[in-house]
Amino acid sequence: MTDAALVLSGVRKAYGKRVALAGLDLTAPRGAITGLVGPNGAGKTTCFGIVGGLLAPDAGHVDVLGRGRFDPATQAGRLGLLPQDAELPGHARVDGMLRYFARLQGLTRAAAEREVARVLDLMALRDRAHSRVRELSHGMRRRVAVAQALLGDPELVLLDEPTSGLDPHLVVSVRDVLRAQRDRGISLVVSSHVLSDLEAICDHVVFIEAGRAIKSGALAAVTGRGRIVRFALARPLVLATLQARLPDLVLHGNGSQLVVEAPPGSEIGALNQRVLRELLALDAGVLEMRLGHSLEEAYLDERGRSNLEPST
Amino acid sequence: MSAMPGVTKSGVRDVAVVAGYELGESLRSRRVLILALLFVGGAVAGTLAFVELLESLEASLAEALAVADPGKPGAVTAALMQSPEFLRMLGRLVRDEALARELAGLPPLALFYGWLGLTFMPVLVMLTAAETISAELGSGSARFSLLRTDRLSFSLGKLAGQTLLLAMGIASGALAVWVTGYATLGSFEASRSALWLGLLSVRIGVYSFAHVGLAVGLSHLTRSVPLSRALALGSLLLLGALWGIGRYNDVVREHAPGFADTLLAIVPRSHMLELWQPTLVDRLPALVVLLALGVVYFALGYNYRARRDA
Repeated sequence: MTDAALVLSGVRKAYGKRVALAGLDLTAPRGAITGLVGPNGAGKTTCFGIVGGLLAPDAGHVDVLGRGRFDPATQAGRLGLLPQDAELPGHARVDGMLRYFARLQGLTRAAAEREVARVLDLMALRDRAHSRVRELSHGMRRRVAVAQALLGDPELVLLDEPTSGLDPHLVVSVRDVLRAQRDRGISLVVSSHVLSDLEAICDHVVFIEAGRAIKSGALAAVTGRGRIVRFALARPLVLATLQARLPDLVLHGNGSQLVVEAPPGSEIGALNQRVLRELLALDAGVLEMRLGHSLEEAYLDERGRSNLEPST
Repeated sequence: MSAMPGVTKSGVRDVAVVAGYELGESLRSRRVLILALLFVGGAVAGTLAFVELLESLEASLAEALAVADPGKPGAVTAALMQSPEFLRMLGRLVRDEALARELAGLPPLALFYGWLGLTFMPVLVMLTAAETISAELGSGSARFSLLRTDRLSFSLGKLAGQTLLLAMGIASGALAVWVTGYATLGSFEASRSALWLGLLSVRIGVYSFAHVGLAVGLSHLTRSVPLSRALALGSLLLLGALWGIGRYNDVVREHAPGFADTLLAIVPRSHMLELWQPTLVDRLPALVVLLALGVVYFALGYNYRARRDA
């Protein structure tokens, strides 16, 4: 068994003249939540469609759970998918529809009943089990769509914008559900425009731009949480003064913002202690301290850098 | 994780699961309910109109012959249908004496039901089955199923679901005709009529299956529901035109007889008359060809979609 739940290499897909994926390379580790970050049209939805076997790639290699391309005839139930651009049938009743999906995954009637009850409980939808889909609010439909992706405890779950249109308290609840799935060993790949959502749950991120991955890695590495400490100061600081006191560290800053880069192999707690001691000694007035960049900053930095580089 | 107990999966099972859900959802959908009511209502109304026609004909006949009005209609017509004159007229009409004898031997109501079903069922089928696949492709809801089963099982399940729906529609139409006949016709042969309504229902079912295959096949060609409906109804017109050309266009028949025969072979209507043949051996070629046409129409549409993104 490989360590990756999902591997895409050099995957290309075009719709006529429009190129959706231009050689996408992507790896999603097992038992982790991987976030796909990118603008509209970056290729995230196409990527999910290809992984789910709904779209055929023009070129490249796809490996789902170490078994090559996903084949629903033999692997149904191992992969759950919430497609962004698919509507649940409006006239269907929620429980009947979920039961049908579960049965189609190969579950017996009794197992399907249990699974439907479980996912409805998970998404706090038990009281809407007998409702027709068209009677539900947008947020409820989204939760039903997430519920169908979790049917049968799949090993890999792909969720395209799972929190789109949800109320804030439900966003938190869905995030908790996804974390709980990850803690049970399920691998998840999640795309969202709300980067704070991804930052709150992801262990691994992939930035996608124009159908290619421009950066990927563990969230801590991509955002620099393991090597960068950022300070907001009450009073502007002369950087040279601090640099003289901490000659082994790389410091950046502009006035009341200070960024400290730790040397490779250093322990971030000890480094923080040293910097704080010096800042207090210099009476800089520390207002806030944060590890690394936010995911949004990291993404925008990388995007800016990628746009500056000549394309190959 | 993912070691879900009681997982059993096969293509045949998937077809059955899709068909069962398709049938259930179709029965629950308002549109199909309205169409079913139209068919049953149409069968009842048609039967009543047929009975009224018989009544009026028999009353006129009684008046002309200066005999007592026979009361409930049907008895005179049944006797009339056995007369040598009627048989001769029917023989000239269908150009087949054995077939004429078979038709004259049917209960009048069964004869009427057969005509009603074979004439109107294809139109109803096209209206109900036209969007079977296209609606799901258009909304994207097919993706939820196609993640769980292969495309062939999904499409076959849809075809099977629509075929079951058709069978239920035909059965309810036959029942409606029988009940109406029982209530209104004199000398109504209840068991013989029931037997013939059942036998003719099977033939109507096979004839309509060719159209189910056509409608579901066409439904693979587009993601647009209005377009799939237009394709379905347009195909009925086209098949009617092809039948007309193959059967009646003397120029085509004279100069390209093979082409005319091919046209007739691929149009279900060309095989309709054979369905009335008295023996199974005589009916069998038409039954087989109609079933094959349904499968081929379906397969052509499926093959188009199978090579494209879901």
